[in-house]
Amino acid sequence: MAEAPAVPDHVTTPLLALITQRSLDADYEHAAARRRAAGEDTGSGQAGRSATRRTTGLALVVVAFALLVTVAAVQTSRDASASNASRESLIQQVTLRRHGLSVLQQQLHSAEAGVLSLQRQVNGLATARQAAEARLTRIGARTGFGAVRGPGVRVTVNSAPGSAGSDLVRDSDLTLLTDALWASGAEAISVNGQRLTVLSAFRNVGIGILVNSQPINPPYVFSVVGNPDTLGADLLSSGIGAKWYALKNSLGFRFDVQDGGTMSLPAAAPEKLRSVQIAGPETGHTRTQGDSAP
Amino acid sequence: MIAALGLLVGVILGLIFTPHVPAGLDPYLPIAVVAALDAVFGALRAYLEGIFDDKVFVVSFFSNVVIAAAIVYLGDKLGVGGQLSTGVIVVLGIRIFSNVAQIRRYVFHA
Repeated sequence: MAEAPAVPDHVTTPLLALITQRSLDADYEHAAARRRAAGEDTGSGQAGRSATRRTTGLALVVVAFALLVTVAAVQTSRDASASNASRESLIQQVTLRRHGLSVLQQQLHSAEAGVLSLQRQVNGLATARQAAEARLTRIGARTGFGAVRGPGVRVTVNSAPGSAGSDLVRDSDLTLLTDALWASGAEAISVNGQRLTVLSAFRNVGIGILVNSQPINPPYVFSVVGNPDTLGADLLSSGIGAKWYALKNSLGFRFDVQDGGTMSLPAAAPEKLRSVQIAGPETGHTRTQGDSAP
Repeated sequence: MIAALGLLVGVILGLIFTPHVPAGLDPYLPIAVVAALDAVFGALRAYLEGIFDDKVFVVSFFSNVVIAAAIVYLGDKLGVGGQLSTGVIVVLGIRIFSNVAQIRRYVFHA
């Protein structure tokens, strides 16, 4: 077996120890060894010129070294002020933004609280609106401005055959019958398709009769929503009903009461309010006619 | 004598002109300074040992500076600039320390 070749020192030495050992540039030793070998026999003239040149080079290198160190130091201190400034401005920005963030969060909280209270208001208003709509429907049904349906009777009235002049059915006769029907428990009445409201009236124009300003022709058919079992009997027994029967009998009107089954009554067309304004708590600026008078 | 004069002149020049280092060279300046320091301390030690050679000093000075900067530049290009400059500074620092220790031994005979 062949002997292993000798391993050089710099291979086996640990790296850090090697660095420490060779901290001096080996070139200095090489140069010194070369000089020793040359025997220091350089000529004095050449040596003098070379020494001057070398001294100049040395001085230049030292100047370059000092320049390098100074420039690095100056640059570092300059950069330090700049980076400090930028850091401080960053910190300022962070503080500022944090402040803005907290302000925004406060705004968010207050806005959320506002949203909650508005939501509550909305809920309350929705409830109030439902109640108001229910009330409106009830009032509409009651006053004649809302369509209704329900059981009732159909009452037909006509003049006596062959009658003329004052024997015909007139507005006052129909008014009397209507009052009698209301008194007997009628809840909604329409005459020939015209719904009777709290403002309705029968009026004579010539030989015709107007209701809600619309002409109606005989026979006059009253659709009456109410209890069909008691309506006819109550009509007979009430005082105003008795008056109607007396009138009918004296003038010979044809009068007929039938069970109408389930009837649908139309709504009367609401009239526009021209002078009236709604006075409510939220309309404080509403002016009445008296206010606008000079 | 010459060395002290040169140092003084260099510092004064640097303070007077405060040349602006281009932004691209900024990261290499500290490494170059450390490499130059290593060369200077090596030269001082060689001088005290009596084997100083100005030609060797000039060459080692410039080659140290250029090689150190080149290594860091290469590291920057490879994405390991920080690690490589750390390695360069460790090696140069160890050399500086051991050179200074040797110088101390010569100056104080301790």
